[in-house]
Amino acid sequence: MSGWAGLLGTFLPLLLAVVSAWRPIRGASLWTLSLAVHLISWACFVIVLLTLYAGSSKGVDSVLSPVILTASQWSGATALRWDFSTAVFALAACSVMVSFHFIARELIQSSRATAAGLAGYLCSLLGALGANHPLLFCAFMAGAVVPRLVFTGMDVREGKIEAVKETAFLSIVALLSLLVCVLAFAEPFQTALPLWFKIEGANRIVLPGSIGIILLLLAASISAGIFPFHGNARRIFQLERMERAVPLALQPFFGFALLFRFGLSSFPNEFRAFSPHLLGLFSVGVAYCAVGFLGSRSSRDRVFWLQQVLSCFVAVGFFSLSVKGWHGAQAMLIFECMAIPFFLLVLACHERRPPMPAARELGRYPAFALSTAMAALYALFLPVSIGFYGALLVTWSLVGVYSWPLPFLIFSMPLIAFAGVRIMYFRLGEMKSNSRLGEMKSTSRESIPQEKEFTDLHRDELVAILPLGLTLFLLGILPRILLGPMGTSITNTLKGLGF
Amino acid sequence: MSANQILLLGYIVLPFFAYSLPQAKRTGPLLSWGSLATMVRIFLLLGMARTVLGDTIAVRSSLVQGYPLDIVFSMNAYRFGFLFMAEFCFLLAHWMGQIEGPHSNVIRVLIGFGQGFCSLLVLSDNSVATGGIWLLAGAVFFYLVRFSIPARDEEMGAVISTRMHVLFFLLGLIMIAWGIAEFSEQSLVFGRGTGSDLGLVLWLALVILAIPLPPWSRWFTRAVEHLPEGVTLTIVTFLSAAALKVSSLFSVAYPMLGWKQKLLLYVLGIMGCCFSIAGLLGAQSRKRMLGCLPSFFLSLVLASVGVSRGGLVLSAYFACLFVPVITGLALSTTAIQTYGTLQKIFVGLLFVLVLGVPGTPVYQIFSGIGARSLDLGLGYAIVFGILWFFYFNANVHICRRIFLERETFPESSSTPRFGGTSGLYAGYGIFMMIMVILMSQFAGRIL
Repeated sequence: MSGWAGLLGTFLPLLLAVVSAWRPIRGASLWTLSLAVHLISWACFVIVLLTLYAGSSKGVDSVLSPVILTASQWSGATALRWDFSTAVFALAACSVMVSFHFIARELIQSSRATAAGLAGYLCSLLGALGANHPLLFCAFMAGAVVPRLVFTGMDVREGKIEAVKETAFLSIVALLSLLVCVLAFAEPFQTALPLWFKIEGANRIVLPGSIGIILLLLAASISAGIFPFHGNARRIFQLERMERAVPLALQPFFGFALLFRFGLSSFPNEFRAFSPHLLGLFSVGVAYCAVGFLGSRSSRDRVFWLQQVLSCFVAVGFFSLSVKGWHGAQAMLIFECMAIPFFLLVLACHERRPPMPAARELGRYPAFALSTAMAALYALFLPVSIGFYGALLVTWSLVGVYSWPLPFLIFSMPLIAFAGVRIMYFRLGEMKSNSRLGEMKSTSRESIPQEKEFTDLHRDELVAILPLGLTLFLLGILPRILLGPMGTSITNTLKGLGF
Repeated sequence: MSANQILLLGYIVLPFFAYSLPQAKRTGPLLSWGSLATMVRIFLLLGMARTVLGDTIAVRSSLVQGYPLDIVFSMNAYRFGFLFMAEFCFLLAHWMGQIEGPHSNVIRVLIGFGQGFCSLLVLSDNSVATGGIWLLAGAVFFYLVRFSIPARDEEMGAVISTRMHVLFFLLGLIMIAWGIAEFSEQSLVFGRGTGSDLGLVLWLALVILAIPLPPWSRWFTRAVEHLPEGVTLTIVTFLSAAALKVSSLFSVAYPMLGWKQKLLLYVLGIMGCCFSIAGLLGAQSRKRMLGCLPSFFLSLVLASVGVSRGGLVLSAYFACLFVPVITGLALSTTAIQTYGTLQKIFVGLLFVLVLGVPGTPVYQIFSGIGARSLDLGLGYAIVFGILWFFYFNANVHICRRIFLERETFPESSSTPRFGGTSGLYAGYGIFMMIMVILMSQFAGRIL
């Protein structure tokens, strides 16, 4: 039953993408239908997760969908398969999409392309998370390109169409890179390829593996939008309406799911050789992004750099190739893909309002103040969020094994504390005219529906923010409900791969 | 789960849940949820008193399976004594914290959270949990300062809150890093340190940063001077708990600390004491003058660790026990305006307590440090003699300022003046003085 639930949850949004083209369904009914579909998807993954949770003590570590999606002589039978971690990722993605419906009600009601793009993007993302073969992953990744472009292109600011072109180009590069990697190093050329590169008399072939891991890492890093390929990831923070960036904040799932699911199993030896260097690179990345977080002059900039810090932490945890590191990295990934949308939702609420009153006046707007305070607590990785445990486990995984990158991680923490002070001062929505990313010209600001007077959060805004905020809080105070089964799943995976 | 564990659990969670109940509109400060929760906590502590005299009560919960990230909170006689006195101080803080204004509810809640985190910090036995509590406390105190500072001192509030937040954040991180460096093989539960250089350096950083040491900790003296009394008392009690934590960890992790490290702590402690006394003598307002007292006694914690021989540092314990009480009493002194018989008894007793008459905590602090200074040689003895002499002179100065000078309070001050209830506060102050003397006598015999 849970296999069917997973399958339904994955493909139901695709049905919505098709239905949204039907003219009679529009406005409020389109929004209601879209919400219902996303809620059903969410409920389906709750079932998958509960099955895995209940089965974790009985040795059930994955749920397989009952339908084979493709079958060929060289790829075998490919289907969707969820372990505990991917089911959690899928549930997090669905939760974000449901929240998005409340913050962007008008947007979905007025634009069928938005509803279709949203559904298509979620379907691709859920499919990619569940794919049990890299080729299937490629197919879903390709499926996400168009909805992503719809989202970026429809709301990009005037004169910024180059950004869309750049995003499209990079997406195609990532996709091609992954396709070449899959075809050459998984199947069908896996056995033939080493012979092409074999030097006469040599007993060791290094080149193909190196090329494969480079292609895989290129695809993963572009998909995740991570340092040093973070330039394009910034584009989503340049959208006219901040709420449009909420679904796009789930993009790191693509890159990291690729690494966690297929990276180590495809190139175990190469990862052993390359990981210490990449670990160092991303440790430097954490410090660099923390400096960026500290130096950012606008709220959008802050959220962007925070996302980069989190992504770098995930990468450090992944390349530590240890259970502890992977555990921390996956916790961090969930945190990233829930906390960044949470931030964007809060930021969207800030940007809809006139300049904020002085902090001492905020007592009159309790929901607004509390949401901003929660954003601040999450930004600082305090123990009320799962990010604290993620950062702790990632850092801890390096102790005694790779000690030299540790100073970079430790150095970044006080910077994050200092940077977080601005958020704690309730200055999340502050606009600086001289900032590069957060600059909101008067013309563009006029197009955003703004309140005449400063008001507390509306019902829709509350419904959008509260579930995500409370989930993050709950996971922060009871991390064992998530980290316990996840740890078992990771231990089994790494043990199976010989690590 | 035994009855004692239930009592301990109730004691731990009470301040965090007390505010979820609806507050009646017309309850005075004496019957606010914060005050009631504190009274219940005192009774819960009394319920555990008999057991903790000879045993330890512990509650344990696993945070993450497979890793030594268990939360362990344990209560023993040592911690009991401090927390028992701290609760009386928090009760006073709740009474003093009834400020009228747009954020009065937030301030009440945040004082309650500060109270909760204070007890968690003292009871925690795991370095990650302790570090996490410190990190969270930083955020709580940040907002407590931000919301309670009067509008005219907005900039001052920004400075104080930022310093507190960053300092507590660093302390939390150092605590976690220290735990990983020293106790990763012992489930991160505090125990005998492995003696690694990194661990030692981290512990020294922790001790030095945890104690607001003049002249670097100007934020602390400013906080005492500018913040409302209830908030100040909450901050001071939390800082005393932090000082108690790090000084007690010394006896657990490094009972055989090297002389160089001890000398460093001693020099810093004495320097802090000197600066505090200088600040006290040069203070322009009564509140600033009395605000130097906590700094002085907290600096003495470092001096106590510096001259200790190993094992439990009792002088540091008495100092930590005494600091919140003396701060609460001093703040009451600044606020009480009417001088009736009860108030005069209160002020008289306060100076008996502060001067260090035998039997009082101050006497026990100085006698402990003095005895060890004599053991350590002439240099230490001379420094101690000078310190005591200056402390005595500072007290004479305090007496002169309190009894001979009448200071008027500005009308716009947001801090409460206890005109109508000063008798009650004076009576409670006398009760607290008797309690702290009794508690230090008990502690001196039991620990």
